[in-house]
Amino acid sequence: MTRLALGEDVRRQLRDRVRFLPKHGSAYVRAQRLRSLLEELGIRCDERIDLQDADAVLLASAHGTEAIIAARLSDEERHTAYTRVVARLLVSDMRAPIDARIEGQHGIRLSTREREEDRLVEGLALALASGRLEAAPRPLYDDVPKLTFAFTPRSAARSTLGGLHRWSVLWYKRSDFYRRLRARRRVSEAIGRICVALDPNPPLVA
Amino acid sequence: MPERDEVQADRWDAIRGRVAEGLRGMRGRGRSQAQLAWELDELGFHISQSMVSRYEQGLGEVPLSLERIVGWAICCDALSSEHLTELLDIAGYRLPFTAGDMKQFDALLKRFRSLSRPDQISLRRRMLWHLLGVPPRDGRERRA
Repeated sequence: MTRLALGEDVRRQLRDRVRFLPKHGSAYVRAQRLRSLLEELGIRCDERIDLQDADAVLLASAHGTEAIIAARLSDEERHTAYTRVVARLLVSDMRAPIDARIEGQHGIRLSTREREEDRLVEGLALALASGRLEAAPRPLYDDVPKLTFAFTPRSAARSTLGGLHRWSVLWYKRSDFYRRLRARRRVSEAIGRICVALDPNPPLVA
Repeated sequence: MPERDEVQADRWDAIRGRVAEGLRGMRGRGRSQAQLAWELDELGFHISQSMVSRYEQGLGEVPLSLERIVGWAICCDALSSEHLTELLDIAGYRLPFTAGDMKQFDALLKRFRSLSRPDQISLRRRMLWHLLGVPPRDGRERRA
């Protein structure tokens, strides 16, 4: 089977960079910032295509990955489109030899799995656009402890946290109510405190 | 018509009937020659309806290029068809994809059919480049 040019290392780099993206600037500046980020990671961006319905398309194959952004979009809409492309890259499992994800209005019928993926992307894109990544579940953009059957007090706490993260992602993609609740500032802050309590000294990731 | 070597002309004469058969097979019955010619034109190929007809009758003077064969298959959603595999074999071309890969290409093409016409054309053109491993050229997309 042919492999995609978009590898796990690219996704990891994107995750690392997204967490430290500056949040200030106009919609134009923020869109350009995301575009530069994608291009640095080898993803071609084209904003001149006359797409009529779709806002953006992410196309990945063995020959490269490209983000096609509709030319008709305003700065604000273009910024939103880029946040969705970035979120899509973080969340999606693109399949070899070629795969595409279409953002915006389209008549394509989606499977249950695709609808769930769309909800994850929507939530993460909103969090990214608002400059509050913590409004989305952390496993979507950061390394988190895994759920394991461990026995030492420290690893048990981390494992519990891993279980909570899994639960959170599961409900985030299934429940509109949980997604709205999770985006609230007070809820995000409370979850942040729980994470610190269960994992006060997270290991440094190389 | 560009000047061709004798051996090239002879080879084309020997295979053009089978090529024509493959092209007809890819188009199938659900798609008219006019529709195919229009879609090929939108993809950037300079192929008229009469040329489609001539190729399908084995009357084309110039051998079909790999790009045209793949473009033809994209417009007919026939990338995973046996006709294309045979055609590529006969013409001596090869794409670096497995049969499973080609099925996925076709599945994606079918999904694109739900989009508006301009969006479909833009994406199909991109797919053509990905299939052939050619980077997109600046300025071309504006046509779509």
